[in-house]
Amino acid sequence: MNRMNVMRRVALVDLGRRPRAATVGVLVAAVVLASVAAASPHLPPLEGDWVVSTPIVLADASLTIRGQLVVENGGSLDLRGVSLSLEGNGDGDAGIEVRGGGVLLARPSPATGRRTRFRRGGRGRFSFAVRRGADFLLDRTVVAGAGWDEAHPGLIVEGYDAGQSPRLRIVQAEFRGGFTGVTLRESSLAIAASRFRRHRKAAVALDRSSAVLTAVDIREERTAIQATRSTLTIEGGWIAENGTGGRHVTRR
Amino acid sequence: MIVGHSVFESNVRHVRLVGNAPARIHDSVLLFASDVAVTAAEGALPRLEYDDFVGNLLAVRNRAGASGPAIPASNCFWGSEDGPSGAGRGKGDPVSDGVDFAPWCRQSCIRTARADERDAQRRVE
Repeated sequence: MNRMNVMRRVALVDLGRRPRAATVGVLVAAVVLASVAAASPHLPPLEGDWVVSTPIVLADASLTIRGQLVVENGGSLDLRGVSLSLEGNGDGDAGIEVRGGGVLLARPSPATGRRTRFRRGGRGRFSFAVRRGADFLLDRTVVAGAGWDEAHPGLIVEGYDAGQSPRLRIVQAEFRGGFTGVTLRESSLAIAASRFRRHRKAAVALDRSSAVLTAVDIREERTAIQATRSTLTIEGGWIAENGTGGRHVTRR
Repeated sequence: MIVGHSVFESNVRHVRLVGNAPARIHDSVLLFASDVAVTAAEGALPRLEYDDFVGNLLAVRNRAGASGPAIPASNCFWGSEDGPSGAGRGKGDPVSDGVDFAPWCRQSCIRTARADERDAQRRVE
């Protein structure tokens, strides 16, 4: 038996004989972590808004937001295999806003392959807005339970021109259980190999926008794709078991 | 709206077009709509080509009927080798008035993406 195994064994024996000491140790660690969370701008606060104004990279973590996550001009948040629970008692108590000049990147962990997830943690649904001039990427990311009405429909992208930002993409993402999966307003965007399920209004909604949807899989939606005064291309899509598959309106 | 090489299956309505923006649905499979596969209203005039329509309650509905321009829908398969029913005389999926469905395919004639590109290139030349 090598030295490492012996040490492990001693540690286990110690824990078994002295549960109180172990409990105290865990409590101390929790307090230290809580203090770090409260003090560090690199982690969300225990309560209230988390404003990101510098570059932050987080990997392989589970975090809870009890307020608004705001990525400001000059800030960037790079989430790699992070599970983000947005908790609130009412709709909109928690949310995400990427402001002009801010960057949000959500992608899998390079170490474990684990996906980044944005999910509703409490009773309320969360808002998710990418404002004009912001930059973002959703790569193999899950968004669950976002949005609750027309004004807060879920992931909403405003004034985004994909031609001006090669990074803006939604690829192999999964959207489920919100009001609308992705809403584009005066934006242009590509969505590839992504899956949509069970939104209250639609999977994808376009308003004065342009979108190319490639190999999307859309099921169990009231309306799969709704395009109003927009340009829409669907290539290799699988659109099944919805109320309306595609609805394109060019005048009201 | 351009739809290519896609599958619409078991929706109530597969595609609903309102207004006169250009629209094209090609090389796609439209199956088992419990209401209508493609409906066009208020000047919508989609071009349908190389599509398969099978098992739909109604394959194509032109709201303008016979009074307006017809929806071009040639080279589609209507689920029967003798063409669509409704405004057609076949046993395939029905179409409304105002759908130009001839000539039709006697079996599925969806092209691969590469063949589709080749045809498009030929048209440009």
